[in-house]
Amino acid sequence: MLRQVHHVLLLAGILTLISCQRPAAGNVAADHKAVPRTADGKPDFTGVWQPDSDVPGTWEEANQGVGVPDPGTGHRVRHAEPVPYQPWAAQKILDAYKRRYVDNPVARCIPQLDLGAGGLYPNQFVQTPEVLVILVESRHVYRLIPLNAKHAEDLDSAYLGDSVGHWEGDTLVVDVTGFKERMSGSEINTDALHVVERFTRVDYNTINYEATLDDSKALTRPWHITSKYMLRPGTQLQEHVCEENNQDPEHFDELMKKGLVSRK
Amino acid sequence: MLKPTILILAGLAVAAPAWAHHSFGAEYDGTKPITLTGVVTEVQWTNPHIYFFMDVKGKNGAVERWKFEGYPPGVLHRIGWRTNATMKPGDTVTVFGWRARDGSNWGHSREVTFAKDGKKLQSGPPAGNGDGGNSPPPIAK
Repeated sequence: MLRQVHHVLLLAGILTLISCQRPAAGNVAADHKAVPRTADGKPDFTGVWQPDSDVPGTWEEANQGVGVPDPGTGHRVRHAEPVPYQPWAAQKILDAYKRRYVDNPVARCIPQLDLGAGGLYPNQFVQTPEVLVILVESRHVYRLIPLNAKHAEDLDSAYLGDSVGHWEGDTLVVDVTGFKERMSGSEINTDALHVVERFTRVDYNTINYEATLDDSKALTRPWHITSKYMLRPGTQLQEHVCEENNQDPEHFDELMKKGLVSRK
Repeated sequence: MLKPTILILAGLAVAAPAWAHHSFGAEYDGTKPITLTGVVTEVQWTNPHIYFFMDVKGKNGAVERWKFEGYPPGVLHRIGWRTNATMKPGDTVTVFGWRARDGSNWGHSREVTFAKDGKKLQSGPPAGNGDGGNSPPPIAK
């Protein structure tokens, strides 16, 4: 309970901070600028970023043409090998695929870690010496990453797990554990999932991102992902209340009654 | 021992990022593109997706009511859409998208062309995202 109150207070403070720190309009030429640093000399990730891109500039400059990164057809920066699932887990994913992912928890507004994906939506990073906060527009997900802290010993499991960060040189290493089991939809994990993320701001516009996922109950070996986040000056996060008018579960039920999709 | 195709398929499925908040293929049929022109009757500028309704004249002159899904308002805002300004009841529009799997007058929009100024705006993602059944599964090389 105390932890929840702490999180609420922390978020309130962060929102105040954001209201005073509107990002200034920027341009592609900002590449030559030095990586900003905090008072304690660490790289400062504060700003609005677009995952899964390597194009500098404002949102409009970087996403010309369609106007948004085009799912499935656009230039992809995020790279991930096929997931080394254990046979039982691979079969579960195949079954979900055949059901057209009708059971995907995301369709019911359940959050998940984006792991360097999700370029349709901006992420706002807010950094203090004690914490890095990542606000994800999609589904109003927020991540609180205390810096130089340890996981609590009495963690409750959570869909986003529990994150703590520490610095290795100029790289912020984020350790995530305490995951809630997810056994339906296009991505599954057990409560053994352990994620290590590495954020490195390699220049003014770019964060290199790496993640290693280890799940001894579902994977045969660790799974690696690489991606990038690009600074998007002037972009503001928009409201995305997933529960507002979510018609998909009801539509799924109608389609199942008609025999067009099945949970069997 | 699982067949290689299963392992590859599983890998690709999980490697695919969550572009939409639900599976396209669960609700829509990517093999059934549709282009319709009609008059907008209602716009639901809501999350996690917008919906708009339009009256379309059929071949026999009868008017059919159609419903289309689109991107979330925030995504649309970044590509030039504005609440209660870009698309309003009474506007004549041409919509390209894909039909719902049940064949009802429901579709997922991809692009809207406005008769008033000829402007074309993206309104939704391409077909895909979990389209199990309509697309062959990836084959291991």
